[in-house]
This record gives sequence, structure tokens and C-alpha cells, in this order.
Amino acid sequence: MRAALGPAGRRTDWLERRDRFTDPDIETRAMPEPLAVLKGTLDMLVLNALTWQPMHGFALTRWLEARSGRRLALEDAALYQALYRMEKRGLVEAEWGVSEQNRRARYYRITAAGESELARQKAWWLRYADTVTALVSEMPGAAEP
Amino acid sequence: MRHDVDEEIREHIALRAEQLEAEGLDRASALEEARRRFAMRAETMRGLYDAALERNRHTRMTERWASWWQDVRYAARGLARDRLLAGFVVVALTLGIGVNVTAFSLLDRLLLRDPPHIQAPRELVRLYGTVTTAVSGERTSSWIPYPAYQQLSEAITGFERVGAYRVTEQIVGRGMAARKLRVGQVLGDFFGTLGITPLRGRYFAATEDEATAGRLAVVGEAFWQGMLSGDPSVIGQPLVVGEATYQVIGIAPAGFTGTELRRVDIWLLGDTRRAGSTNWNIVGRLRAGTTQAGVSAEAAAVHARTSETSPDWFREANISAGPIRFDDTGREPFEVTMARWLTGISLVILFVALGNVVNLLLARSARRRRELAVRVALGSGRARLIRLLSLEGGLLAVAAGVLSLVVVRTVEPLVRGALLAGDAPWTLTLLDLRLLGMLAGVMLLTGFVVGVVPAVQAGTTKLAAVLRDETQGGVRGARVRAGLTVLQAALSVVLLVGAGLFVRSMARIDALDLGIDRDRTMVVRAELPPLSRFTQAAVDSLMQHERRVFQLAVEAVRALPGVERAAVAVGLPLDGGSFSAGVHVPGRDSVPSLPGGGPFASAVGTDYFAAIGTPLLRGRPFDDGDVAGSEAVIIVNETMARALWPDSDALDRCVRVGSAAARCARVVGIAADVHRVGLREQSSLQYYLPLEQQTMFGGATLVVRPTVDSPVSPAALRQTVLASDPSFRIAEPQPLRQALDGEMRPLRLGTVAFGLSSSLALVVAVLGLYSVMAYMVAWRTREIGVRVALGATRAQIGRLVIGTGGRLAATGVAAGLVLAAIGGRRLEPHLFLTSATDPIVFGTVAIVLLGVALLAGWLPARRATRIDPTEALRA
Repeated sequence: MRAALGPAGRRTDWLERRDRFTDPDIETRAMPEPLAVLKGTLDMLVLNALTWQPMHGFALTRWLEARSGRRLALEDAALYQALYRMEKRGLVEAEWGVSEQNRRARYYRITAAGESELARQKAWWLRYADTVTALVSEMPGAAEP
Repeated sequence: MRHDVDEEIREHIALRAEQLEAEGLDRASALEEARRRFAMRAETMRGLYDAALERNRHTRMTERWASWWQDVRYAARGLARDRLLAGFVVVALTLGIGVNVTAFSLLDRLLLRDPPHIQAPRELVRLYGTVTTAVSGERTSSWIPYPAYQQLSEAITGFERVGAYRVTEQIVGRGMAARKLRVGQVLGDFFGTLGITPLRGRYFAATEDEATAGRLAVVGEAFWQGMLSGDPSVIGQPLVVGEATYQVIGIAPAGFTGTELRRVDIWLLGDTRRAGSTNWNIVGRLRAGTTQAGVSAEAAAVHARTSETSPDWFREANISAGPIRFDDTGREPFEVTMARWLTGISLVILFVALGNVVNLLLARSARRRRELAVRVALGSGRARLIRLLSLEGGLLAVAAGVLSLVVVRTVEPLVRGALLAGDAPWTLTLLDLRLLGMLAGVMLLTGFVVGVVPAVQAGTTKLAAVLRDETQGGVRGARVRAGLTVLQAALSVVLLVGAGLFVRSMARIDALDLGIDRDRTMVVRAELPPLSRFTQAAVDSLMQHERRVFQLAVEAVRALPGVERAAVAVGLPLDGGSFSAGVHVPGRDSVPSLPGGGPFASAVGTDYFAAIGTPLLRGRPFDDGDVAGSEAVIIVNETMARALWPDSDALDRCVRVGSAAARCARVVGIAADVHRVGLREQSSLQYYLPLEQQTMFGGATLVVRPTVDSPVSPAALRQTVLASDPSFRIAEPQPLRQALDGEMRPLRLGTVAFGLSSSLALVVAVLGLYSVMAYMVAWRTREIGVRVALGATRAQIGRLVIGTGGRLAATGVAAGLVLAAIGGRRLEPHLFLTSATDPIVFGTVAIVLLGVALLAGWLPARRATRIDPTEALRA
């Protein structure tokens, strides 16, 4: 709240960017509420992200947030859980390295096993989504399939 | 691990806080917000720690496997580079391991395993009788006369069950297809006492006996499979054994031999009516609570009470009980003793091989010291290095272990055949748990020694000094290697001495004059149908018949090409003494009794002495004139001539055979002494009567002397004899030599075992010596170069090298001779006329080993003398 005492221009900026979850007075703007990540799809999302390039944990979070247009609400701890699990299963590999800001960071990289797992999960997801979408798009009273 | 997780999360939160700061928050709020977003609750952290722990554990395992695999590949590559060395090591270890597994497998079967199919064999005992005679001293035997068996089996309460058996060789089948097989006869509750279950059919019941149940037989599984083709309907079929036909009522399980070591082909139900004068082995199962000693005492008491029923030679016998695994003389069977020896020898071979292999590997790791030092310097870690070197040793041991199965498969049947003369009741199965267990054990031992020793040596080398090339010749390593070489030499000496002693014994046996031509003489044992009634008339007519048909047979044989001489004889040399009949000489009160026994009698036909090769020293052999009606003549042996008529000529003297009232037989010839019993024999009184002039002795044999070129074949002999008269049941030609086989076997086995193993050990030891000296030259190249530069002659260099090797060899020889002298005591009873510390053998072995050592050093010495000082100093 101290920031509210800053320069005027900054103030507006800040208001717009405040977290909607904590301030009930702020109406929802153009962006809808972020979706909680569906159980079981986090792995797929992480693996997918890693096919672009190896990333450390925080970069992964930023990437997902950016790419999803902030529509997904990601619990950071859950992300690390997923990463450690997948590392154990051999879907990703991790190595300590140095980030752009010259800091120590643990970089995650997708493995061949991870790639095939990703392909499998993607195929499943797309089929599942299609099926569910089709089902719930039907209106009652429509012709029998 | 927690540290890692904490750091990762800390970084994440810091970056998040940075992002938030960039968006306008102050630092403190940004940090707080970042933490909140991370959802850093207690259970979250715990969850992360757990996940990280599992992850780490998993990666550690995969990493470990990967590094092991990498080391194995590196070790394999390293060995592939040194192919010659690796090959030699594997061969040496394969032989060592293979020989050990073979020996253990035999020892296991003969000693450690219980006799097959018998229930609780520890509860079984065998009865032994110890008899003291004037001639042979104290003798223990498990053969007990039938009357004594009857008394003992009924009266001993310490036996829960008891039975008796005897195994003899009998003819099974007829004519050309007849075979001599090992046939057991059984009385009482024999099968019940042993507690076995039949494969098929049933066994004889405790109360059954040929008198009541008829002629019944139980066949062994091997016999059933072999000679009866495993026909399942064999139960109830007839079987011809000897003269009679038996009915098969059951099949014994595979490998069953009763309590014998060797196979038994058929078991027959004994006949109590005819058992009277025969001897039996008595086996009983101890009642719960009784001990062997208790039964011994009880048996002695029973025998003392009932001794009048026994034949007089057995009345004073001491009865005792002993374990069933002893042989019929109450001692451990020779086959078992031999198996023990073989195990010992195999261990010696293994140690020699190990010593040499370790030597070679130490030399190799010394050669590689720089490479290894660099590895450690680059961060490999000593532990990893030790692991690597151990892996090399381990790979070699594993390869050798697997290959050793091939050795076992080849060698074991040979040794088994030699030990049990082809009568082994079992065959080798490689997939046996105990055998594989032994293999694993020996492999572990080998792998440990071969892997650890060089590894430890490498682990204690000073790295920096190696890299600077300053090492002072790895002094401790060199001492270990020298010690190993000395050990190998000593062990080789021990084995060589053993071989030498046996060879000497064999030579002495060969040189022994047995009084016969043992190399050429063949003996044909032909059997006629035995008597069913023992009346005097029946015996007389059989003897006449025998004489007639054997005369036909010998004439037919004489006509064969390839036969130089042939004769009929009753009572042959090397037959265990056979016949003995007292003689009376006019002018003497008694005939002297010699340590060798006697007087042994033979009844021989014409041409006998020429056929069997016994020289006639004086006088003449029997001829066609010496028949029933003509003058009674006799031929005596040299000892008898000297004993009875020491001061005068024996020829033309009178001898009364049998009783003082018998007619005089005139001495017409003096024959050389022959061995009547076996190899170890003392002089005895021997005489010969013409076959036609006596009626006391029956059971004739043919003696044949084949020609030197194209001698007659045994098959031709057999056929001719069988064809000469239809009453011949079977005809078995055998070299006379074979009678000695029983006594020769331990010596032959000892010679082969020690001979082979000592050659092997010698080869390995020589290679060890060579490698030590070659290594020494390579290591001290610079020093030698300096010496040469300073004026040393080639001879001096040569002496330096050979001196080192010579000292090692000499130490080894000395130690080995001492060991051999100590251990030789145990060999002595099995040697023949050779002392266990025979100086010629010891001396020869010492010279051989030293000579061989010099030879081994010759090549490295030559190389040393050729060292160019400038090259050496530059290296």
C-alpha cells in the first residue's frame, strides 16, 4: 500500500495490476479469472514448455504465465513437485548452471523419454477435450446422435 | 539434498520478488508476495523435500549403475589390450578352478553325501570281526560267517532292524551274450533296514527267503535301463543269473548300491539252505537311544555266548560295530582316501596358479603405474581406482569360472572312471546345486585374491613420486612378488617329489620278478555248470569231466594262429594263494613254516611252465608220460628245495602230498619262485603236481602265451573255448597282469595325479620365475645401463640377473623339500619299496627345478647383457 503514495502515474498503473483475488472492490476487467490447472495436466504443460528450450524453475513459471496470457493460475510449489517427480521418472534431466543474471540456477531439460511421454499425453488430452467439448455442446432436445 | 531444494526455491522467490519490484512493489512487499505465491506452507516444503529425496535416490542408483558399467567396459578394454596375459591368466585359473571343482565333486559323492536313497544312514552300522592268525596277524573284516549272522541278528536288541548282504561277480545271461556283473544276495530285512522305496514293484520282505518264496530278484535301475531297455513290464519276467532263473519282482531306484561304493546291478533273495558256509555283511539300524558302542558291546557278548555255532576260525573273533561307510576291512575305502588326496592336490595347483597370476597382474599394474597415477591425479579417486583393478581381476575370475565347467565336464568322467574302475553308480550333472555352490565359492576366492592384491598395491603407491618417475622400484611390491615365486617353486617341488616317489615305486614294481611273464600271458577262465549236490561221487565225476573238456579246449587253443603255447592249470600265481595242501617229507618231523605261508599247490598240465613263463631252474617239466598210472612226480620251487633239503640236492627226493601215508612223489624239477598272492609277498613253499595225477583240486583255467607278432585276440580265444565243448558256460580271456590291478590302482592313480599336477605346477612356476626376472630387468634397466657404463662385463650382468632368480628358486626348492619330507609320511603306505624321503628322488627334483629356473632366467639375462647404456640412461 505504500506504493500508493508514489508518483501519480505509477498509482494508476498499480491499481490496474493489483491482484483481483485480494481486492473484492475491483471489478473483473477484460481478462477472466485465471483457471486452476487441471490435475494431471501440469506434467504435460511443463514438458511442452521444455520442448522450446531448457529452463530453470522460475523461467518456466514466467513462460507458462506469459504463454497462457495469465489465464492459468500456477502454484509454484506444485510446479517444483512436478519437476522433481518427472526428474525421478527420467522425463526431464536437471543440471546446475548459471542464468542470464549470473546467478546459480537449476536448469531442466526434456529427455527422449519425456518427448514420447509428452506426445502421448498430448494425444490423449486433445481426444479427451474434443469428446468432452462435443458432449457438453449438445443442447437438450437436439437430435439423437 | 535439502540445501539444494532450499537454494532452488530461494532463487525462484528472489526472481519473483524482482519481477514484482519491477511491477511497482517495494522490496519487502515483493518478497512477501513472492513467498505467498509460492505457497510456502509447511506441508508444501515437506512434499518438496520428499519428492527431491526420491529423485536423488533414483538418480544416485542410475549413476552408480552407469559408473559400474563404465568401469566394467574399461576393464574389459584394458584386458583386451593385454590379450596374451589375459589369455594365460584365464587358462591358468580355469585349470585351477576346474580341477578343484572336479575333486570336490568326487569327494562330495564319495564322502560327504549320504548313500543315495537310504533313510537316516547315520543310524546304520555294520558289524566287523577281528581275527588274529599266526600268518597274517590281526585282520579285520566285515565278512561274517552265516551261523554267526543267525545268532547275532536274532539276539542283538540294539538293532531295530537287521539284514545281511554279499556282493559277488556272477554271470548273467548265456553264451556270447553272457556278462559278469555285480550281483548282490540278501538275507533278512536288508531292504527294510535301509528304508528305501522301490522304483517299481516291491522288495523282499523281512521273512522271505528262497526256501519259502522261491527265486526272486530285484534289478537295479541302471541294469533295467541298460540291459532290459527300461521295459516297464519287466516285473514278473524271468531273469537268468548264473545257473538259475529268477523272477523279477521290483526295480531299485537309480544309484542305489546298498552300502557299497560301487554299483550293484542285481539283488537276489538269498537261500538260507545253502548259506551255511558263506560269509555275509551284516547291516543293522540302531534303535532309538542305542549307540554304536552299545551295539558293539552287545554283539561281542552275544558272540561270546554263541561262539560254538561259528566255524572254528571265527570263534575267537572280536565283534564290533562300525559306520557303514567304511569298507570291508574296517577302514576308510581307498577311493575316499584318494578323493581326499585329489582335493588336496587340486588346492595346491590352485594356489600355484593364483600365485603366478597375481604375480603377473602385479607386474602389469606396475607397468601401468603412470597411467593409473594420471587417472588419480585427474580426480578419479583412489577408491574408484581400486574398484577398477578389482574389476579386472573379477572379470578374469568369472571368465575362468565359466570355462572351468568345460574342464569339469571333460575331466570328471576320466577321474571317476579311474577311481572306481568303471563301477561308479552315478554320472556327473553340472546343474547340481552343490557343485555350482562349490564353483561359486572357488570363483569368489579366486576373484578376491586376483582382484584385491593388485588393487591394494596400486592403492598404496605414492602418486607424486610415480609421476615424477622417482620410484625406488616399488620395493614392497617386488618383495611380495618374490615371495609368491618362492611359494610357487616350493609347491611345485612338493608335487614333483610326490610324482617322483610314485614313479620310483612303479619302476620298482616293473623290475620286480614275479616268476612269470606278466606282460604276455593271457588267462582264460572258463566256467562249467556248478554242482547241485556235493557228494563225493558228484565231485569226482565233475573233476573228470572238467579234465576232459579242458583238454579239448587247450588243444583247440593250441591250434590257433597267434598262440605260441597253451596249458591247463589249477591254482595260478597271483590268485590269492588258492590251494594249499600239507606235505610230509621222510626224514623230517615237520615242514618249516615260512612267513610267506604255504605250501601252495598247483596242478598243471603239460607245457605249463613254458606257457606262463616260469623258468625251470633244474630238472624237467611235466610231460605226456606223467599220467594217472605212472610214477608220481612233483616239481618244487627253489625256496621249498632249500628249506626241505638245505644241504643236498632236491632232485629225486621223495615228497608225500596230503598225508604221511600217501605215496612218494619224486622231485623231477625245481622251478623259480613265483608270487602267489600279489606284489608284496615273502617267500613261500610252492609245489606243482601233474594235472592227471591228482584228484584234490578242481577249477581249471587255461594259460595262453600268445605269439609276439600278431597275437591271438581275446575274442578268438573266447570263441574257440566256447566252441570246444557245449558245457562251457562262459569263457573270459584276461591278461594275467589284470590280477595285479587291485594293488596297482593306488600307485597308478598316484602316479597320474601327481605326475600331471606336478607338470602343470612346474610350467606355471617356471613362467612365474621368468616373469619375475624379466620384470626385474625391465625395472632396473637404468641401473644396469649405469653399471655397464661403469665397466661391468656382460658376464657380471648375467650373473646379477641369474643370481636373483637363482636365489629365489633355491629358497623355494629348500622350502619345498622340507614340506615334502613332512607330508611324505602320509604317502608312504601307498608306495612300493620306496621310502618317503628317498634321497634320489629329492635330489633329482632339486636339480630339475634349479635347472629349469636357470633356463627361465636365461632369456632375461641375455636381454640384460644386451642393454645399451646410452639407451638405458636416456629412457
